[in-house]
Amino acid sequence: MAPLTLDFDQHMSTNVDSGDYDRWERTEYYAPDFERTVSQELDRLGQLEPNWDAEGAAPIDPAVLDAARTFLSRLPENIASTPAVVPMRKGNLQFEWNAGPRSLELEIEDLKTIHYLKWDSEQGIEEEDFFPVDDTERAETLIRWFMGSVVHV
Amino acid sequence: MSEAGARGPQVDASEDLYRFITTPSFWVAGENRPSSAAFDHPPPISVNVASLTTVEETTRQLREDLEKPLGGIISVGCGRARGFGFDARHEPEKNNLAHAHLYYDGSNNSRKKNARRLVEQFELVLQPQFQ
Repeated sequence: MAPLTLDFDQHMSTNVDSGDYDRWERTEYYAPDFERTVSQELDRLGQLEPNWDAEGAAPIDPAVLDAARTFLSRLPENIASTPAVVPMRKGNLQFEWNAGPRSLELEIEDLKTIHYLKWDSEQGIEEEDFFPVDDTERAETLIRWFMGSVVHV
Repeated sequence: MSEAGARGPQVDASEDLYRFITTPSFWVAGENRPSSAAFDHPPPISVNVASLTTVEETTRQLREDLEKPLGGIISVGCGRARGFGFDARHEPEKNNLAHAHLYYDGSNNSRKKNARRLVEQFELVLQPQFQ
């Protein structure tokens, strides 16, 4: 796994007394457990029995699990923190990132479609739309939007 | 599972609805709130009409009937839910006369944001104890 790297986007000054500042833009996020954790979660979802929520949920469709694995395999390395892998009651799943008022949900709605929610209650963002599951660029843009709000030192 | 034409009577907008959180997957622990996945539809979403039950009885159902001792309970307003496209219908079950179903009647194009809007309105009734 590659180490965390930072692109030096814009250098205005290092003199804090003058009120100038350095601006850094994070381009990668080092999450060494991403692949293992998500893979384990997908395996776990594949073992869920019917009625896994005790309220009539369907088992997770193995084809959806395969589509989720393929989707993740197309993403660049070190793009994001590890998402929650959330089973959905009708037998599909979504990846969720949550940080305070900001959330990103990428739902594998069917084998060809991702249904997403881009949410920031403080900024008034409630964007919902669809894109093809193989549109990695769109997924990457959304994930980078979310990760732009998360600061870890 | 009822179809639209066979649904039970509408629950009054002034009611509160108790929703079980039966699995850690539906709880965003870091934010101490439900995931919008807790309001994913279909299938219809089970709730209890608050005026027809008690927190104690609903807690007992969660722990004993559903065998989810670590689960939690949240509450949402019926009128608020209806405003987001969730139609609450009183559909009692043999062992739970307070039972109702939430049906999402809105567009799939806004299903996720409406579920999230509903989550924003929740009140915590019983804290989940998931590890």
